[in-house]
Amino acid sequence: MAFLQTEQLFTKKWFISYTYIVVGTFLVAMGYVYFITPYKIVPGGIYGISIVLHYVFGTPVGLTALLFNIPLTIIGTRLLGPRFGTKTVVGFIMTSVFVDAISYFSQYKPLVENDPFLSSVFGGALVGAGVGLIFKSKATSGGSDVIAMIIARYTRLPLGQLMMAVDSCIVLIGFIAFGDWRIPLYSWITIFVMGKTIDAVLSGVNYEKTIFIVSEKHQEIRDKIINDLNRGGTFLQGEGMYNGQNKKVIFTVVNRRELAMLEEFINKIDPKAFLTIMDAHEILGQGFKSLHDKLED
Amino acid sequence: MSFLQNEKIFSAKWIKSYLLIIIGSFILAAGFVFFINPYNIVPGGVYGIGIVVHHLTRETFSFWPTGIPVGLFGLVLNIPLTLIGIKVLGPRFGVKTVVGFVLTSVFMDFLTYFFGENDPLGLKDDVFMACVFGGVLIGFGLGLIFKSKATSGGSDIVAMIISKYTRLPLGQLMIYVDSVIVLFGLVVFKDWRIPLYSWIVIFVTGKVIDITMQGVSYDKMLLIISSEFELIRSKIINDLHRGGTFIPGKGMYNNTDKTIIFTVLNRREMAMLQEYIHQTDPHAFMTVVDANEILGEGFRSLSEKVEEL
Repeated sequence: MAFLQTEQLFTKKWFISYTYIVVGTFLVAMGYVYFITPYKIVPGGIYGISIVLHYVFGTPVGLTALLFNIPLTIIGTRLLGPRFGTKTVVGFIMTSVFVDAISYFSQYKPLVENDPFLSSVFGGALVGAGVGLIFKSKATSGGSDVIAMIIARYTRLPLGQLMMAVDSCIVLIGFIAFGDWRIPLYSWITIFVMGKTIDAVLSGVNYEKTIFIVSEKHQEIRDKIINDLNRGGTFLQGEGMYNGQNKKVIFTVVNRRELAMLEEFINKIDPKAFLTIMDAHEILGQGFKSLHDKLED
Repeated sequence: MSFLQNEKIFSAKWIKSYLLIIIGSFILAAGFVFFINPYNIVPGGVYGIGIVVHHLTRETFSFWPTGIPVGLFGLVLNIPLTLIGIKVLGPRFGVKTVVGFVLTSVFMDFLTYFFGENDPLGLKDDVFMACVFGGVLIGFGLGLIFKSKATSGGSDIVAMIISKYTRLPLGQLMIYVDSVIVLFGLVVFKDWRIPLYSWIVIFVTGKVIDITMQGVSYDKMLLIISSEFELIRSKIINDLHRGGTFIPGKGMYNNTDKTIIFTVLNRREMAMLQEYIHQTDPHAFMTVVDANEILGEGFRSLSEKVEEL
């Protein structure tokens, strides 16, 4: 399995990738500079450590982070193989540059004074949106995740858990350094919002529903879906577990509005139908965004 | 396809619809009066514009010393928007939509008159909390109005018209239209807090509308692949008293025939089943998906849902 993505220089795809990285790192930097750093929130990661060091020794946040990222990436490459491409390096350098440049203008003052809760939420949202865009360009976030990857390799513990453990340690360092209980609490809010926002950016916010319909009137329902809603679907050949009767299960995806129309219709012809409705996180294919669009955009 | 719902006047369904609209409009108006308007938050929509205009017209009219009432201004915007909407989009907006927005405006201005507009609940040191609860009330009120099959009218009509000509998805356009109104608030009030608080209100409102309309479900859909499907079947049918469907499948690795069990359970039943499967076939493969909504035998029936209203 190749972890490194190679793209030709100056193609459209290359251009889009780097646009994501530039916009993403800018958003990350705005989040740190205007919302997180001024309130001494320590949301894990290299930037969490750099924020603690900034308040203890007065070092610039971006430069400190860069000084951590370079050796970590080198150690990571030696221990884990060539996993981190040019894009990862470009990403963390730009983040550092943006953070220190914007800090120069902001003078470490928050955008909104006296409201750390609001700032922890929007700091998480901005950093999450930025990191999501960076991930979209297929770069990794580098930094403290490398530590988790190395520990995972030697201990065989699950990576997701280790990332949380590493971040929690950094949050606790913030608590010890600043001696204020509010720091870990606000930091966990930021971490939570960040995680949710990364997911939303990566898979999009989606109002489509996946439905499984078990009904005697599968033929009529099929006609409604195909002819009136102009959607596709798949019949699964099933057998009732209760009495071994043959059944057809309809598997289809519709949007919220179509779902209401379909429910109304099914209720008319077979009120005893069995429907399971789920949020689809992402639908790719005919009638929706195509897989091709997703990977190329 | 007809968008207008015809209901017989004074039938049970009609009375229920209008009760939902009255209660929904009242809760919606209360959300604005107690939590949003006093702190100049601008959460999109015609009332968002109303809040900005209210502030801009302070001391302009002698009979409205604090500015044009928010409800009245919302109404003044809603009437032409609805007329334009009907012209451009066809008769999509029924009597219920009109009753909904008229009632919301009336409730809003009456509540403001009785409770004042100067920090009625004393939350000025905790505007964040006001935003969250304002969003909850607005979302709940709108959810009830939507349940009666009325639309919210207002700025959504602008989004629908743009959507008709540009073919962009409606959900996205609604967010854009509201965001423009939020930024209008930033420009007028010149305070970064306004857009940030406003986005919190918009976010909470959206979530609460969804919860109000579809409920919170703790039911799980399970796809189980196990060689012991017969044993698992009898556990589900005989002990848990649930139904299910066998779906024949083929393993992708070596083409062996497999039987997939497709069933839906609540959280507790799922825990019991997992315990059982763990004992009978520890190698079973199970996919658990949160179901938003289950309709049919053993759960709420489809007719209950469609006719609920």
